Parts: sequence; C-alpha cells; structure tokens
Amino acid sequence: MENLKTLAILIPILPLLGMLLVGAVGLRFLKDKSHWLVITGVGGSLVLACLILGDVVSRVSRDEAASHVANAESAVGSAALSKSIPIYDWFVVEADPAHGAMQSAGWLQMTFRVDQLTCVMLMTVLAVSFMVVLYSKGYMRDHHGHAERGYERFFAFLGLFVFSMCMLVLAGNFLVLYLGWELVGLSSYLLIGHYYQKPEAALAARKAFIVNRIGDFGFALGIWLIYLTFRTLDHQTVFDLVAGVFNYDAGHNHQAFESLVHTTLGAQASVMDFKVLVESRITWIALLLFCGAMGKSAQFPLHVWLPDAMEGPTPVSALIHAATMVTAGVYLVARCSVIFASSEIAMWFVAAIGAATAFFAATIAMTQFDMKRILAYSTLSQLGYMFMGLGVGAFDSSVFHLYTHAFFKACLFLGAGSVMHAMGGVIDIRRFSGLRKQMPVTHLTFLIASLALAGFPLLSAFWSKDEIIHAAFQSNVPMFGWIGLVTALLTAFYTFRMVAMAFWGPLRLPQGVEHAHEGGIWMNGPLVFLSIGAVLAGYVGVHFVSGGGFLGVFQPDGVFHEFLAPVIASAKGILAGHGAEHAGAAHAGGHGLMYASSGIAILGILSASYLYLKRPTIPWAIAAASGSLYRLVYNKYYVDEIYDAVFVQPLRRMGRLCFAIDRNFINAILYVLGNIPRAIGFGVRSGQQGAMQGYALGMVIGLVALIWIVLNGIG
Amino acid sequence: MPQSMLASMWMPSAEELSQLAPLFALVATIVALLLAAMFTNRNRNVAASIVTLGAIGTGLLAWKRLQSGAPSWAGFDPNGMGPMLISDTFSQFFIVLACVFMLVVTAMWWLGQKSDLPDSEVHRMDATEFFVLFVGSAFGMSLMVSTTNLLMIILAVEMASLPSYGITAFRKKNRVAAEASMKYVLFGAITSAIMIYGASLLYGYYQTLDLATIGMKIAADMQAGATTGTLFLSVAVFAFMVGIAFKVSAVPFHFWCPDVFQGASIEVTTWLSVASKAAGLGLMLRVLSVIICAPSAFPVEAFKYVSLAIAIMAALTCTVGNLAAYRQMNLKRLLAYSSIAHAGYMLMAVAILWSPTDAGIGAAHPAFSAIVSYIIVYLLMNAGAFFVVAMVYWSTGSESITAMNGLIRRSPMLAVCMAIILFSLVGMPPLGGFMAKFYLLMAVWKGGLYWLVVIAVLNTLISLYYYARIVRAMILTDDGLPEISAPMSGQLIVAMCTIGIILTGVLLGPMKEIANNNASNLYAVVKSDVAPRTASAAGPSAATPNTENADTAPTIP
Amino acid sequence: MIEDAAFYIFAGVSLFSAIAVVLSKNIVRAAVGLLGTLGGVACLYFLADANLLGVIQLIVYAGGTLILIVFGIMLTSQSPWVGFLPTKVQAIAASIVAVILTIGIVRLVTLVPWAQRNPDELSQSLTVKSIGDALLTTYLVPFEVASVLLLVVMIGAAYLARTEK
Repeated sequence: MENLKTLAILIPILPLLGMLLVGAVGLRFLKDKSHWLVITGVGGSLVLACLILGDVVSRVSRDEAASHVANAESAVGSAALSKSIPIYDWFVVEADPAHGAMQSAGWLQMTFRVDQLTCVMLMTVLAVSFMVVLYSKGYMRDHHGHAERGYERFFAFLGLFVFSMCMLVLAGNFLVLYLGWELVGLSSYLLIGHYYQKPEAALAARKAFIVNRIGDFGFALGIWLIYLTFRTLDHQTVFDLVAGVFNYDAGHNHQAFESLVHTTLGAQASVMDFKVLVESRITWIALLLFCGAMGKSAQFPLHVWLPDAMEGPTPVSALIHAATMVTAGVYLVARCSVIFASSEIAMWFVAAIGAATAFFAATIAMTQFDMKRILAYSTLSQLGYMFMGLGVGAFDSSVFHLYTHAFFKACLFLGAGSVMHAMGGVIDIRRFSGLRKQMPVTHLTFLIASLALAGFPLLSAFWSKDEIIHAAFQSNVPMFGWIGLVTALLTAFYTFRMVAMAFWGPLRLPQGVEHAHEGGIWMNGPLVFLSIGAVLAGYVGVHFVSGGGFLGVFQPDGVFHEFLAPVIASAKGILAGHGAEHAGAAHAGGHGLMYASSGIAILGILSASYLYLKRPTIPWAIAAASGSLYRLVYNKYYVDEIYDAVFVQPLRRMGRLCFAIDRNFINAILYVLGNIPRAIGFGVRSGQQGAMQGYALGMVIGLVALIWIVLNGIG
Repeated sequence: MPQSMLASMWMPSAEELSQLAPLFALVATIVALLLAAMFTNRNRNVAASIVTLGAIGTGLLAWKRLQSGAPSWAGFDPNGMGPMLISDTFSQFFIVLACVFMLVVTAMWWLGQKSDLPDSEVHRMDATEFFVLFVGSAFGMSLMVSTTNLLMIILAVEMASLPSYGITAFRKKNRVAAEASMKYVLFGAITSAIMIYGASLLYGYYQTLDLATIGMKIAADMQAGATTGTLFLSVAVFAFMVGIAFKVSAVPFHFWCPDVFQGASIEVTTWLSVASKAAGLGLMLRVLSVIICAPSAFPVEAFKYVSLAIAIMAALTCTVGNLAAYRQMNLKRLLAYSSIAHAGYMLMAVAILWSPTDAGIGAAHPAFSAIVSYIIVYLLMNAGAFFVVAMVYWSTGSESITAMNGLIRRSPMLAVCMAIILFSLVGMPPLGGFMAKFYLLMAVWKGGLYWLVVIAVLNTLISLYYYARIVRAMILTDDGLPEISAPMSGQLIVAMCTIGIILTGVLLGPMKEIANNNASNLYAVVKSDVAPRTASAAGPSAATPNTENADTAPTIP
Repeated sequence: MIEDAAFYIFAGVSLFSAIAVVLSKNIVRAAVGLLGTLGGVACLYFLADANLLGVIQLIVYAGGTLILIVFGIMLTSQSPWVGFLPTKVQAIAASIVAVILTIGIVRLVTLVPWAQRNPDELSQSLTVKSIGDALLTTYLVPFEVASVLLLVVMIGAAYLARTEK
C-alpha cells in the first residue's frame, strides 16, 4: 500500500514539477532548452507507471498463486487495489448530523486509486505523452532549429496537461476526478489557443471550453446527485453500494451490503428505502455522468469542438485530442461501469450515441481535405466505437480499443504534423501529393498506422475493433453491429483516400516549398516507436491457440482482458443479472466476423487507392452527382450552423439585453446609491470641504441608526 | 506603600522583558533608522535595509516564540490590576504575519523606487521618514493584538493610526493624497472619540481597565441576576468597537477607505489594505475572547445586541463595498472597495462570536479559525493583487483598469497570476479564497445567522462581476499597449502569492490545522491565565469562582 | 454648597462656549469659544481635586494647543475672517443627530448606578506624586508607548511641515 501510495503521488507530481520549473527558470534562463525539464518529468512518470504496473501485476499473480494453495492470509495483495488510497484530508464538510455517522466528521479527502484500469490508462497516457513531448522538441522549431515563439509556454502547458490527466485517471473519488477533469479541460483550452494571435485558434479554444462546460455541467450535476444519494463520493463505496442494490434480489451477501449502507448513511438508514432511492435515480446519475463524457470525448451532439481544436499545434492534437484527453469519457464510463450496467436505458443511450457518432463522423471524414480534420473526424468515429462497445457491455474491449487507438492515432497525427512541418504549414491534401519519396520515414510509419486504423488484419485495431463489433452483434440490438461494419468500411476508405492523395501519386509540393524533408531524429523516433506500437500493441489482447485455420490461431481475450477482469467483474455480474445476451466472455466463435471485417478493411483500402490513384476523376464525379447530399456531408451536416441559429444567436441577443440592463438600469441605481453621502454633503455648495462634512455626518447618522435599530431590538 | 524610595519601585524583570522581544525589536528598528539616517546622510538603501532586517528579526523572534509552544504570558502587572501586555501564540502569530507583510511592502518600495514616477521620487528622497512612520504603524498594529487593557488598546490603535495618516499624505505635492489624509485624520479622530467614550463608560462602570476583569464582572452581574446594565453594556461595548470597526473600514465608518487607498501611494495602500484590517480583526477577536470567555456560560443579553449590531454592520459593509466597486475604474479604488467587502465577510464571523446563544458558542471555535484562515488567504490575495497593480502602474503610470488591457500578451505571467488571484477573491474553488469563504460561511451558518449567509452569497455574485471585468480587460481587450517591464523579483513575489493561494486551496487540511491550533491556543490563554488572575482581581462581586465556567465554555475539539 | 454652585457655573461656561464653537460663523471667534470650553473644563478638574490634571489642561490645551490653532489660522488663511458656513441640509441633519445623541447619552448615563469612591482615598491618589508613581509603575507601558508614539508622530509632522528644497 505504501509503495503504491508513494508511486501514485509521484506520478502526477513529476510533470507538475516540470511545468513549475519551466515557469520558474525556463522562461528566463533555459529558454529553448526548457523541454528537458518536461521530458524528464514525463519520462520519470513513465518509469514510475511501469513500476506501478509491475507492482499491480505482482499483487494479482501473488494472489492467484495464493488462491491455489488456499492461503487466505497472503491473498490480500490485490485487495488493496479496490480501495482508495488517502493522500491527505482536503477539507472538512460538517454536514448535518441527521445524515450518516460518516459525514459528521467527514473530511473530503484527496484519494487516489490504483487498480488495473488505472494502470492501463497510466501506461497509455504516459507512453504517448512521452513520445509526443519528444516529438514536440523537434516540431516546435523552424527548419533552422530555432524555437518558435512560446516554446517554453508550450512545454509548461504540456506538463500541466500530463499532470492533470494523471490526476484524472488516478482519482479515487468523484471530486478528485472532477478536479482532474476540469484541469485537463483547462490545459486543453490553453494548448488549443497556443497560437492565440491567430483568431481561429483563439475562437477554437473558446469553443472547446464552452462546449465542454455544457457537458461538465451535466457531469457536476451527476456528481451532486451521487452525493445526495450515497452521501459519499468515494468511488469504491459508491460502486459497492450500487452493486449491492442491484444484486440484492439475486440474494447473496445481504449482510455485507446492509452494514455498508449503515456505515455510509447512518445506522438508522433503511436499507429498503435506500434501495428504492437508488433504483429510481441510477438512470439519471448514469445519464448525467455520460453528459460529461459526451463533452470531453466529443460525442454527438457535443462533438463540434474537436475538429476546430485542430487549430492547436499538431503534437497537442495528437496527444490531447486523439490519444488521451478525449478518451477520458471512455475511461469515465469504464470506471463507473457498475453504475452504467445498472441502467439499461443508459447503456442503450451510450451505445446509440456511440454508434451514431461513429457512422456520421466517418461519413464527414470522407469529404474533408484537411489532413488534421480528417483525422479529427476519424477520432470522433473511433471514440464512437468505444462508446458503442461500452454501451453493449464490452467494457474491456472498449478500453482495449482505447489503448490501441492511442498508439496508431497519435502516430497518424504526428505523421500529419511531420507533413505539415515539411509543407510549411500547408495541410490541405489537394495541394500536395507523392511525398513518399521525399519523406520515407513519415510515409512508412503513416502507412502502418493507417493500415492499423483501417483494421487491416493482424494490426492492433483489427483486434480491438473486431471485439467491439462482435459484442455489438451479440447484444440486444444487432443493428449496432451492422453500423460498426459499415463504419469500418468507411474508415478504411477515408484513411486510404488520405494516404493516396498525400503520399502516393506524382510528387507535387505547395508553392514556396522546394523540398520536403523529414523532421530529424526527434520527430522520427516517436513516429517509429508509435508505429511499432500500432503493429504490436494489439497482441496483449489476443491469445493464441493451435489449429483453427488461418486466423483461428488467434483467440480474443488475451492477458489484457484477464488483467482488467476484476475491475469490471461486478458490472458484468449485474449485466448477467439482467439476463442480457452480451454478458460474459462471449467472444469465442467470432471467426466468421474476423474474416468478414478483414475483407471489408481490404476492400475499403483497395477501392480508395484505386479511385484516388488511378481514376481521380470518379470521386469528383460522384461528389458532383450527389449534389446536395455531398454538400450536406461536406458541411458536417450543418451542425455548427444549426447551433449558431438555435443557441448562439439567441444567447447573444440575451447577452446584449443584459448588457443594456446593466448599463442603463443597474448603473443608475448604483450611481444614486453611491452618491447618497455626497448628496448629503454637497447641498448648495460643491467642494471637497462640504463632501467631507457630509461623510462625517453620514458616519454619525449611520452609527446612531445602528444603535437605534439594536436598541429597538431591546425595546 | 513605600513610595518614597526609588529602589523599592516596581521594575519589570528581565524575564518579563524578554517576552516582549518582538515589540522591542520593532522599536529598535525605529531607533536604528533614525541613527542610521544621521550617520549615512539619509541613505535610502540603508534605511530600507534596516527595515528589512528589522522585519526579519522581529518575525524570527516572534516565530521562535510561536514555535517554542511556550505558555502564554501576560505581564506588566505590578499592582494586580491586570496585565498591560500579553504575549501568546495569537499575538506572535499576528506579529509574524505583520512582519511578512512588512517585507512585502518593503520589497515593493525597493522595486518601486526604480520607476521614475513622481511618488517614487518622494519615497526616494525621504526614505527615512517614510520608514519611521511605516514601522511605527507596524508597531501599533503589533500592540493591538498584544493587549487586553482598555488604555493600551486605545494607545495601540492611535499608534497604528497616526503614522498611517502620515504615510498617506507622504506625497506632499499630491492634492489627492493630502485630501485623503485629511479625511483619514478627521474620521480617525471621530471614531477614536467614540471609542474612547465607550471605553470610559466601561471604565467608569466597572472601575477597571482590564477587559478580562470586566468580563468577570459582567459574568458576576449576570449571575446575580442584574439586568439593568443590558442597554448600557451593549451601547458601551459597541461604541468601543467603533474604533476597531474604523480600522477594518466597516460601514458606516468606511468613508476614508476608498479615498485613502486611491490617494496614498501604492506601497501604503497595500500596507493599509491588509495590515490595518488584520490588526483590527485580531483586536476584535482578542477583545471578545477576553470579555466573552468568562461569562459564556450565562447568556449575556447585551452581547446579543452587540452581535446584532455587528451582523448588520457586516451585511452593510460587504453590500456597500461590492456595490460601490461595481463601477470603479480606478484599480486602487476598486481594490479598496473590494477590501471593504472582504472585511464585511470577516465581520460576519465576528458577529457570530458575539452571539451568546448556544449555537453561537458552539460556533465560536470554527468562526475563530475561519477568520484566522481568512486573514492568511486575504493577505496573500491582496499582496499579489496590489503587486500586480503596482507593476502595471510603474510601467504605465496609470492606475486605471484600462492599464490592464491585453496584459495576457504584455506580461502573460502577471496576467495569469492576477486572474488566479481575482478568482480567488471571488471565491472560486479550489483556490484559497473559496476555502476561506466556505469555512467562514459555514461557521456563520452553524451560528444560526442564516440571513447573513444569504447576503454573503448574493454579494459573492455581485463581486464576480467586477473582478471578472479586470480579467476581461486583461484577456479579451487588447488595444496594443506596449509590453510590461515587470521586475523579476516582483514577478517572483506575485508568483509566490499565487502559489500560496493555490496551495491554501488544495492543501486545505494542513492549513486548517494551523488555524485551529491558533484558535484553540487563544482560548487556552484565556482559560489558563485570565481566569485565576481576574478571579482575585475582580473584587468581592466576582468572588464566586468563575474558573469553572471558563473551563467549560470554550470546548476545543 | 459653594462647590455645587461653582460646578454649575463652570459647566455652563464650558457648555455654552462649546455651543459657540459649533455655531460660530467666524473661525477666530470659534477659537475663542474653544478657549472658554477648555478653561471651563480645567476649572471642573480643579473642583474635583484633580489639580495636576487641571494645570495640564490649562498649560497644554488652553495655553499651547489653542495658541497653535490661532497661529495656524492666522498664518495660512488669506484673510483672518474666514467664513465657514455649513449647508442647510447639513445643519438640519446635524442638529437632529445632535439632539438624538444628546438624549441617548443622557439616558445611557443615567441608566446605571455609578460606583462611588471614597473621596479621601480619591484625593490621595490624585496627588502629583502618586500620579508620577503610577506612570512609572502601573502605567509604565502606556507611558513608554506614548513616548514612541510621540516620537514617530513628531518625525511625521516634521516631514510634512518641512518645505521642499
């Protein structure tokens, strides 16, 4: 426990320290060497995260070994994982004693929690962060190696982001989670607006912030409702209570549940009343929490901020808006899997939102020309997959996809950044092509990551995406599975449309760029590492069996799923209680689907390559022929315009009205109020002398009035 | 009494004198300043160095006593008429705060004299006089928290006030400063008169200058069932509190505050905005802890009215402060009104402490620590905010809110710190300002003054507007003003204040501990020292042992 | 009996002089009124056997302070007959407040029984010697603090009064 605690504290502290040091000495003394501070901080955290992973793994394996020899005493190692680690008391809430013994002396604690899910998130976040920080060292400079303006600031904010993200995934209660949640929002805002001199960047930053506020408002309400219902914000206590309520009828372990209810809510609390209360509120809690997830993970209809966020520097897009922060919503739902699993409506809603986002974002991606925007819509689409997976109960598969996605999507973004760097800031794929010769490393890594994204067999996303689609087919609504398959085709198509247009074909460079060149070791190193990740990362989620045909050697449910199983066990249990088909490890026998999705991926890749390389006129013809439909998709279904008309303009008008009221009405009142003492003083003459006497008179009158009021009280 | 021989005269012992080392250090600083001016031809750097050393020395001495956990000491009591001076955790704590703040202000002076603005010119020329007055007011403020004697309290308040009048008018050629100082003097004189009148009523009736003895006598009266004194007592106590209310600029004794803050140079404004208020609140806490502690077992009806009067005053203070700040364009004036509003919040907890109901006594302890923690956070916030304003002023020569336009570009560091400070002033979580206000309002709520909490929350909403206006100017408005050349050390101080604000918000637990310790220590003083002493000094009317009550009253959790 | 009569006379003098100070439209006349008030109060001190206090009152206030005020007026104002008119609103508000305050204070003071001290003991404690002793024993701290206060204020006053080079 102590070991875990120390590590858990150090992990967020190191990047924060890096950030503070950049602020303290970087701005003035280190200047364009400031990156070392943040690189060291994030790298240190990565090492610590590896240690924490090793610790957790050893606990789990020790317990397994212990359970074989039925030695109960030593089987406590992994029990620590499902407990919050108190860091320190934050502040005391002296609630009224009517509620719960626990509350009467209730410190709101800073608690962390280190379990399997945390480890997975930490490893993903820190590995990608480390790569992106390294990459930024090369990227945030011009071709002569001079640092851009705001270089130190950029690294400071990156440190802040890594700190916030670690806080978010380490949180042991909802309040700390919310803190991390807001902090990542803040760092995202700061980083999107890095080029704040550019009006688009400033606007995009503001848009991201505001849209996230809408989601966070729901999230905050959800947390509030959790507190009102459970009188605690501790993750594990809440989850245990929910699990207790929803397993109550299944009828085991009533006693433990009842004692938990009593310790949390007070000895006189009625268990049955509590059960009814929870059952009536759980859907609301889940939906409100999901509101926050929708905002942060940019799900329809709150997705509008993410494409605009691409105005930020590319490493930021790779790190925050592809690999890590936007997956916070997925993490939230996976973390609260018990809550979501307890409400069928919420599960359906999550899956439906996910499926809709996956499909629509993929269609938009097919029509865009800005590489980063294509990737942004692709991110939306992949996040949609993850939510679909969560919604159909495949929590482990979704987290698995989150983890593989982080590698290949970060690689793609960094590759796009590399192209942008070489093209002097141009990112429109209509303005260049055939870069494969001049940028071989970027091309190769980009190609690998694209294949992974497209779901090419045996690469990472193939495994994870397939599991989600499979789970969707197994669920109550097989429709989600079909949507998943169609989206997979679209994904393969738009990915290779981009690859074909940018890297293949004849060499063409935008005006003013004579020669495209690679970004050097700082940029290529992370690309290579991430592309290796894109190939291999999936294999922790697969296990191998002999026999069974070409793809049959691979079976889903590898160590990854085994590792995560304890975290989602109780959610799975509740789902099983609902009698849903999708519960349990029903992945076996999905080989038909495996072949089908391989075929779909290859079909998409080949058709896109053919159309955009050999017959580039055909896509244009199709676009022209489909007319208004094409325009609809190209303009992103006019969501932004609709919001503008429905929300922004009326709000702006209201704002103007408020301003007018403030200016004409409130100011007038204040003017009168503020001048009463002066009015007493001025009378006939003006001048400071009079005002002064007036003040003094006002003072004495006030004193007399006060005493008079008080004495009247005595009266 | 053998009064004829000098040898038989009472002399304070060395031990007694050593208890007062911090106070002596401050006086020694004044003397050193004057002597140094003689020998170094009024060298301003020497003067500033002496003040810096003096503040550090005093702070260290006080800190040593604070840390030593030595029992509280009350001394200079030759005839058993009550101690003239008290040295305990509470007073040392405030002296440490004052010294820290002296250092901040001295740093500001040091940085400010580099700019070529007219007021820094004055400070450059006559540094010795400036610092003598400055240290003098610090000495007065230290005295304010170190005594329970009516005479000494009045002297201490004057000691704090008179030099303040002087440094307000320090820019002699500045009409605004002269006028502000004039107002300050006049209102100070009026409130002093009211305060002394209240003190004389108390002295005349109870025949003693010692507040603890007065408390004992009140308790004895209550026990004897005398109620005739209720009206007299409430008016006398309230009139006495008026002088202190003037120091914390409570409405309706606040008229001096905006003019003085605007008229005085920024170092002086910074000093007065925090130190004067902190000392005033410290004195209020001291007074009521001594008076109330003794009779707390008997609800003294008179105190209910004092409590009510202070509650009304608090509500008025924060409302007037916030409403008046709403339209201000001058940053110093705006911050002045903001400081009035904050004094109002703190007075709310003071009102709770005077309230003699059961709920009031129960809340006494939380309210106490709430005020102490509020003062700490308030010190950080105001020091930071004024420092930012000062640096903008040195660079632009303007104190208008428009001078902040585009600060995020002109000095990102300052703008970010200022934004955090302002949001903390509003009370946004998780910053220190939120935590301080949260505890304060919780204490008030538990004390049963619900309407005050409602008023405080409404006021917070109003205050959001004008603080946000500064943030808006810094971030959203940019009219191409040149970059700020902020001195590095000044930025460092601002950054330290900001970090302090964040830490006090995030590391609330430990901070709360400190505040709790202070509050309980103050009670410990009252319990262990005052009770037995006053029991013997209070004469036959208070002969019934009140020590029991004193022991049971303040429960320390 | 004579003492009582003297008390009322001196009290009346100081009271009416005080009213004259407030109501006088001419600042020099107000200063003369002030002389009456301070002198009257000094006489009251003498009547109460507080000889030292009475002398101090005469020397410091009636003698020193007042002369200083008159000099100040003479030296700073353009004409010695400075007009000084409060506005009507102020005058009315101030009189109302003054009346209320007076009633309040009188009521307050008559409300409670005041402690009576033994006159002999009192007169003994008011000798110069006992006051001097008290200043150096019981009230040593206030005495010293007052001296620091005077030092600091003196320096401040000197600074403010000094003409710029």
